[in-house]
This record gives sequence, structure tokens and C-alpha cells, in this order.
Amino acid sequence: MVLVDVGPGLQSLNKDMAPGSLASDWLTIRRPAISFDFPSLVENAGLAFLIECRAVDGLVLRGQVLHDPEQGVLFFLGGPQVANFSEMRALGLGLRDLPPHDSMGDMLVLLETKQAALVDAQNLAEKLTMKRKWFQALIAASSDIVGVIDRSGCVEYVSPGIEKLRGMTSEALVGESFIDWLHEEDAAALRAVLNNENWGPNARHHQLVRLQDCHGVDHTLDVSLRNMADHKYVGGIVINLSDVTDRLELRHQLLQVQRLDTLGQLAGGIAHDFNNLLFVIISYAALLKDAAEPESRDWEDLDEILQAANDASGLTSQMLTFSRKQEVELSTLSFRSVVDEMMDMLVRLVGEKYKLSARTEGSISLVSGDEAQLRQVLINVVVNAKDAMPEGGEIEIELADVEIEEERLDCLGSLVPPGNYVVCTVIDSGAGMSREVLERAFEPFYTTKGRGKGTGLGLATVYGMVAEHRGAIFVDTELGRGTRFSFWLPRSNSAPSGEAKAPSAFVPNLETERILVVDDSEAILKVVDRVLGQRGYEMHTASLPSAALEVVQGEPVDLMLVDILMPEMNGMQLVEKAHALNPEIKVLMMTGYSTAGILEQVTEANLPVLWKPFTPETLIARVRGVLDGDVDQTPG
Amino acid sequence: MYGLVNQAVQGMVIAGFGEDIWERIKRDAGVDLDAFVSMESYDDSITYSLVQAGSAVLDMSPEDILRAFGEYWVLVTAAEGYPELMQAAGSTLPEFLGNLDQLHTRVLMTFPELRPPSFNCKEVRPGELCVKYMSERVGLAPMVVGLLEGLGKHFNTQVEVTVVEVAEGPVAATEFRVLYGVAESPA
Repeated sequence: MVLVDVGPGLQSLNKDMAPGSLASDWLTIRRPAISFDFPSLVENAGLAFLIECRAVDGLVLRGQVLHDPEQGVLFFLGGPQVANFSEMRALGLGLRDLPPHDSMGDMLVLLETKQAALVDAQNLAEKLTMKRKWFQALIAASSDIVGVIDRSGCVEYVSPGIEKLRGMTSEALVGESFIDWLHEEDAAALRAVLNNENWGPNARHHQLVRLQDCHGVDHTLDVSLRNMADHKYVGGIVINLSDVTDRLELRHQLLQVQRLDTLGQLAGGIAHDFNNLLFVIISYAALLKDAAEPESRDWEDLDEILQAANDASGLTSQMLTFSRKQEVELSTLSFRSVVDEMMDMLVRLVGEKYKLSARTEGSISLVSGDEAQLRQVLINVVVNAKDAMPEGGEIEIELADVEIEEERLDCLGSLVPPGNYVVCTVIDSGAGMSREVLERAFEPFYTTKGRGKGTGLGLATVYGMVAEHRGAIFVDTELGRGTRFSFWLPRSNSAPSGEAKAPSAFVPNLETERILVVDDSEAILKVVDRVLGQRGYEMHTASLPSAALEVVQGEPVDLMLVDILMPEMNGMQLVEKAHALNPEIKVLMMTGYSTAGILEQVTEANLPVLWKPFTPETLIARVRGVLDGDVDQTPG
Repeated sequence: MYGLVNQAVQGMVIAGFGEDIWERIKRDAGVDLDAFVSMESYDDSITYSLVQAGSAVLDMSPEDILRAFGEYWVLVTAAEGYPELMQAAGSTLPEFLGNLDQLHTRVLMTFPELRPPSFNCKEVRPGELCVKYMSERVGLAPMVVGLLEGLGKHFNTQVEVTVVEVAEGPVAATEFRVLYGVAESPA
């Protein structure tokens, strides 16, 4: 068989494949399995042929043989047999080499585009999976709980955050009634909203609801609802639950702290004024007592007055402690030793009906504290425990070292920073306190002990003292089940302080120096003038700083006795102006309570301070001391 | 149009301007779809809205956007998504343009709802082609300019495209003169 004609496609691939050449030189039949001769080809015309074409290495043609009996020739119509465009490219063929009528080209395009579509679908599925996982992680990480309910309150979806409240997986809760989880009153209010036909698309509702978790703990949740029933993807009511239990508690505690602070300011102010009055009473009574015949009726009466005034001074001192306006003397001490030393006294204090014991867990660190105040705290708390058990009982004092790594709030809402603390816990099995009583327990003058049985200053003082030590108070109490009262004191890393130095003895003398007293209280001016005048000092008094400066300008002054808080300017400002006029003047400041800021300035200037109320002896001693160059600032 | 086209618009915007801008364009266009599926047919109005919103957000004329899109289609969408097909369709610019109609005809088997444009390409003289473009869709001629310029880059040959004639009517017809392989004309 000879090639009669060769199509342009094949000719372009190999020019040697020309008419006249033997067909068997170029072509080999692969399928069907017939011999390569004319009659066999004619006989099988109409079948699909696969013919290897040596015009190009590896080229196989797929097509059909047609017989033209008139001309006595066979036509072969076909195109390359390839599985994809890569094979085509390897053979040096292109799209143009595929005959237009041949569906092979369509198939190749189809394969290529379907492959691209498959890749696209995979990418899309991957993206959607990522997005879904991202949202799931986001929702799981949120402290809020998100869900979808229907109009009857049935859960269609709820985020995993619900699990800690309900104790079941979010999937298991689908179909449950969200409303049934809530407190009856809150459920009714919410049901009313959902049943309201006017609560239409996009309508919102906001409500606080109470819910008891799977452990029986009560929670308050802030619930936001949005009607998205018409939304094509959501198709329900979206709920957002935010657990506000802690936040509400915090707000409550904050209000309590603010109330205590306000009361503190009030108590501090009153105590200050009282101190001034007591100072006058004590001073005059002391002067009169000095002048009276010892053991006479007047002498004894005046002694009673002094006794009562000193008791009153003790009360104002407690009020100042509560208002944290009492200076504390900090030293490094062993609270364990303090407790050990106090045990005998405390046993006597509570009486025979009570069994008092102390227990220590491990070694107890040192604390930085005012020993006298800490003793007072322990006494007050133990007395409180005793009073909670009128029929007698057991009181236990526990001491332990505690370390906390995260800040927390104490029972009064004060932030307790991370660190090491010495914790003293007084445990009783008494009446316990209701929440209402506990909330007011630290207010001054609040007492449940009945008229005349308590001042109501016990726990208020404890609060002030512990706060002054940057400590914390935790109270675990329940009506009928007793109270665990803990006060925490920050651990000190310093070595224990040495013994306090003994106060210098007062040596009477007839004085000659010139003293200027500045105080806006006329009564104080008069009594100081009298006490120091009797000692022989040349006295000047001024009720206003401007008047004091006139004295300094016109008269020689050896010492100024200056009240810290005054109209026109404070004591520090007056001292600065006076020193500008006469830098030699010595200064002794007076105050009834510490005033943040000004007292710091006084301390920085290393000026001595005389704390009101003071006795005439103390006044005389401190004045003499300052004139003699003693600048000891310890409260006198 | 098939999702493939909208995917390409999305890809071009994100590649050039970032995901946030794409979201803004989608929002302004009122398109509430997270993703386009390449083999799914979408209403033409979505593509037109995206181009319009893109024009406002990017402060570019719709023509410039379409032109940039044409180039992106060739150099990224087709080259990365259908590399074999692109290679099979031709190894030179005139060969490719000559096969384009046939290519679209074959592609119809895969995308039965495709309403592809028709390209008639004749070599006027060496280095100069006359390309007649016809489409049922109006206003897309600037995209063809971008396609031709993109093909120039694909075949690594410099291309200069000029609109010779624009025929208005139910079928948009535009004739382009394409100079290729030309040296840069002196300034």
C-alpha cells in the first residue's frame, strides 16, 4: 500500500512523509489486531483504529478508516491519541493539531478545566474549614456564651462556654429549653418577651438573669437577645450570655469600700475636733490638778475629769485608726511571738467558758507592723469570736505563711497584690454572720451586741489597722456555722528591729526662750500659752498664719509651735515663709491626725511633730527638746 | 459570568490592595458572598457592581480597572489556573490569538452557560495584527486591551494596542490594531 495523499498536519510534522512512499514505512496498526493489508482494512472500516505514526516519535493516531470503492482508496481520518496537554506538548503538538471535528480537543479542555475546578473546590473547602475552626476557636476562647434559640426558648446552638455552667457538652444541650435553666422570675420575664408577637425581626432585649450551675452555685448572667429568625443563615434568636456574678460582687464591694472611706473621713474629722477639745480639757484639768491640794476633794474630782478625758481620748484614737489617720510605728517583728506572748492575756480576757488555742503551720515569717496595733487587732477579733458564742465554745488561732501568685480581692474589695503573707485566722463555732451583717461589720458604731454592750468600733479599728499595714481581711462566715476571720500581713524581708529607745526624761527648768504658737483654735492657743507661760517662756500667739508672720517680722522668736492644718496656708507653707524672715527659728509642728501630702513634707523637712491630744508634760518636754536640738519626730 | 471571573477580580484586588479593601468593595457592591465557586455561574450584575464599587474605593476609572483585570486574567488566572491550556493554545501571540475562538468553543463543553466573546485575528503584515472583538456584553473593550497587553507579557513580546473602530449595537464590536515585537519608539 502506497500513500496517495498526506494531510497538512502530518506533513508539517515530518516533510518526508510524502505521497508515493510506502504506508508500512510510516504506519503500524496497533488496534484492531489485523494485518496491515488493503482487504483487512476494508473489512474493518468503521472500527476505531489506533495507528502508530513514525512521522513523530511516540505519536499514535486515533481515527477511522473509510473505503472509497470507486477510487479504490482508503481514507484515514483521525488525530493524536493523547491523555492531556502535556503529552501533546511533548510530541510538539498544539491545539491547532487537533482536528476541529475531533472531540479529543474538547476532552482535553474538559480535563484541564475540571482539574482546575477541583483544585479550586479543594482550596475553597480548606478556606471554609479554616474559617470555621477560626470562629470555633474564637467562640471557645470568649468568656461570653453565644447561642441560638427558637421562639419557645429551645436551644438550637450554644457555644462550648456553657459546659462549665451546665456540666454537659454544648451538643448535648441542643433541644433543651434555655428558659428552664433560669430562676423562675427571670424565666417568666424572658418568656413574656419571646411570646410577644410584636417582638419582631431585629428586635433586641436585655436582661439580668439568675441561674444555678451544675454544682449548685448561683450565677448572675447578663443576657442579650436579638431576633434574627428572618436571617437567612441564622434563622433563630441569638443569645449572648455574659457571667457578671464577679463584676456585680466587685461593684458591691467597691461601694462598701467607698462607704467605709466616707465614714472614715467623717470619723477622722470628728475625732480631730474632739482631740482639740480634749486637749484643752486635759490641759486645764492638769493645770488645776497641779494647783490643787493633793488628795483633796478638788484634786480627786480633777483626777476623775482627767481619767474620763483620757478614756475619751482612747475612743478618738480608735476612730482615727479606723479612718487610717493615726500614725503607725512600723518595725520588723515576729507575729508568732506576739501571739505567744498574748495567749495568757487572751485566755484571761475570754474567760473560763471558752477554750482558746493557737496553732502554727510551719515556720512563720516576720512582718512589718506596729506591734501595739497588731495586738489590738488580735484582741478585737478574739473578743468578737467570744461574743459570737455567748454560751462559751472553742476559739482557735491559726498562723500560717501563705504565698499568692495572682492578685485577688479581699472581703472588702481591696486588691491584694501577689506575694508572701503571714495569715492569722481566728476561728469560732458561733452564730456566724449573715451577708447583710458582714457587709456592715466594718462600719464604725455598727454593732449587733445590743445597746451599751459594744462601741461598734472593734472591727472598724481592725479594718483601719490592717489597711494601714497594707494587709487584707478575709471572712468566711455562715449563719449558725461560725466564722473564720483571717487578716493577712505582708511578709517582711528585713531583720527584726531592736528594742525601742526609751523616751528621754523630762527635766523641769525655768525657761527664758521666746515662743510663738500658731493655731486656728483659740482654745488651744490659750492653753498652750498658759502651760508654757507658766514655765517661764515669753509667749506670743497667732490664730492666723498672716498674724504669725507679723510677729516673726517684729519680734525675736526662738521656736514656733505650728498647727499643720490652718486657714490661709498650711503649717509647712507658714514655716517656709517664717524661715525666709528668720532662718534661726526652731519649729515644732502640731497635728491631730496625719494629712496625706503635708505630713510627708513635714517628714521630708525633718521637722518634729507633736500629736494631739497631748498632756502639759508632753508639751513641755517636746518644746524643751526641740529648743535643745532634739528633732525626734516620734509622736508625743 | 462564571465564578472564575469574580474570583479573578477578588484575587487582583487582594493582591494589589489587601483583604480589607476587598471586603469594603464587596460590601459597597452589595455582594453578600464569602467566596465564589469557579464553575458556578453568577449574574453579570455582580461583576459589574464589583467593578463599579472598586472604581469608587480605589479611585480608579472603571476602564482602568477593566484593563488591569484583563492583564491579571492572562498573567495570573489563566497562567496559573490553566497553564497547559495556555501553552497548547499557542506559542506565539498571533498563534494564540488565532486559536482563541477555537479554544472558547471547546471550553463551552465545560462551561455550558459561557457566553464567550469572539476574536478574529488577521496578520496584516509582519508585526501587525488586526483583532476584531465581538461580545454580547457591552463595555468590556478596555478589558481586551489589558488581555492583549497581558498576552504580550506572557509571550515576552512588546505590544502596542490601538482601538481602531468601535461599533455600537446589540453586540459590542471593537477593532484593535496590535503592533507586537516592536521596538520602543524614540521619544
